[in-house]
Amino acid sequence: MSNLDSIAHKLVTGERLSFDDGVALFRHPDWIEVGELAHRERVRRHQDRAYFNRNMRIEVTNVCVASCLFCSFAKLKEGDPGAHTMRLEEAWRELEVRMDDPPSEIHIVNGLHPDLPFSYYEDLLRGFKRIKPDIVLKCFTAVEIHFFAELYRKTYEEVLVQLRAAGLDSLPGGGAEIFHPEVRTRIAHDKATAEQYLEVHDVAHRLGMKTNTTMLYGHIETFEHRVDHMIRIREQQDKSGGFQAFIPLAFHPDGNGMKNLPGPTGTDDLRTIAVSRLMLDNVDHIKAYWVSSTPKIAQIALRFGADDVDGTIVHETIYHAAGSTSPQGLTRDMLIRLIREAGFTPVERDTYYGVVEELARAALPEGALKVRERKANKHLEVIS
Amino acid sequence: MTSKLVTRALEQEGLSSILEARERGQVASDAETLEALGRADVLVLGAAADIARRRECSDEARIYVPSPPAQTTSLVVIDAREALRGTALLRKIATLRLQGPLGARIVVDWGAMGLEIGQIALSFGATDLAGPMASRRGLPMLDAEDQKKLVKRREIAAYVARAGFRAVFVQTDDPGQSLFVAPLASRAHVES
Repeated sequence: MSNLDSIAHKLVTGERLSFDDGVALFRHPDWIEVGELAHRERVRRHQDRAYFNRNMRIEVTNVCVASCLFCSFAKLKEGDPGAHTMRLEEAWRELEVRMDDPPSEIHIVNGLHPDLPFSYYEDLLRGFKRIKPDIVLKCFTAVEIHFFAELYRKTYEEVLVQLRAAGLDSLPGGGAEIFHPEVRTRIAHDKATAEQYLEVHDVAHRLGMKTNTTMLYGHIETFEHRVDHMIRIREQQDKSGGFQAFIPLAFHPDGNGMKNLPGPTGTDDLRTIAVSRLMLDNVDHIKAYWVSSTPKIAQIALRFGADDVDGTIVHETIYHAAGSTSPQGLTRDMLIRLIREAGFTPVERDTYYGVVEELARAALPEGALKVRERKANKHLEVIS
Repeated sequence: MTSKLVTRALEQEGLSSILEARERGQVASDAETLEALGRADVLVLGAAADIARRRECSDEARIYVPSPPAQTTSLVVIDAREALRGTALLRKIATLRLQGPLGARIVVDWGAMGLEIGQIALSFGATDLAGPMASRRGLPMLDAEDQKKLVKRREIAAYVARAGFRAVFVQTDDPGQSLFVAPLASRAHVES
């Protein structure tokens, strides 16, 4: 039996994939076959649904004391060229100007600013809730929570309880990078370790919070490091169970300390999504983050194990600082079209994967229509 | 060797007979075949197109220098005129492979479609790539946006190798003349 046939057998019988299986999936020469396996898993869990949400990204400060090699966003201190910290009114204004078609979620990721008081973050959250009480605030990575704990001399639990009292609902998954110390000590030596990152999520899950988790791939890591990363997430999920989605993030090399590296290719993006789906048997959702991989690859990734393409975003700056050529935001209609063209049913979700609206799928795959019909936008017509 | 997984998927989607016909030197074009192609899952369609492509055109991917070749009956160029994107484009390329003449060349212009999509298309039945490439003799006069699209020879060779193919650089007006064949060593990380 070939490696892949034995892995397929394990999937059918519900046997958990091993470290060696994960590496074999990364090394298997036929990456489409790996995708086919992942697609079956994805369909078994989510049928033909593909999720998106109406969210908005805000980065309130890019001042950061950490010196991660892969980052093109951070500035060491206030006053450095390009350094920026929003006044609270400036941050709140980002939501106020969108209240005619408001997002359901605000996603905030920042640099590790050494001088802002803790009350800045509490006030930031309270202000957003004042403007829109039902907005879900998915803010501050585990790396930021760890930094707050050190800077303000609090425990993780104290930080999270106080931020929750101010309006924090969920944590984004950023900051995971690659957990293995052979890589982490080289690319992100002066911020939360893998153990600290996972402990923050552990505490958040115990407090009843749902969170996401990520992996930054395509730089100096090996396939073994990627699989090790996934297994650590799987083990944490066995313990605390609060991860909703895993998001593989493609490394972009422009303007950072690893600018001589080429970054991952399209087949690597799709294979990584597929292996994630197969290895992370206890994480419900695999997200193809369109900002990191481009909307076209994210669309194809829906056929390689992903079931979510993230959201409208509105204005992303971290990946764009690293040379991403993706648009800074997509409209709801664009996301719906992207999903329909791939042959899936678009489902607008809230932060917790509750269904906001399930839309009808397209009648036929886009490629099966004649050009004249496509031009007349007939592919956007729905059945039912 | 085709795995059981793929063999079963091809049978389920009704694509095995198309491959068998091509192996006998025939291109199936009856209504049943067209219906199977239109309905098939895009990944299975890709797997079938990849089998046909490797049988008929080997694992060589030509990189046309300095520009895409002219279209002929047995050579299709997917360039800026193509309106389809993403999965729809992959479906079209795979269908072209399975419905088109035996051994046809399908060239994707990465300047128009993106290098990642060009790379992925190689596993969905496309054979070749073309696009703006950086030259040792200096960069052509291009604006900043077009400069970003320039790709180095070793970069494109790595993209091709990572998709499981071997890059052979050929001159557009004389494709029989290899300019440079990427060393097999560049595939090592795919197979090791």
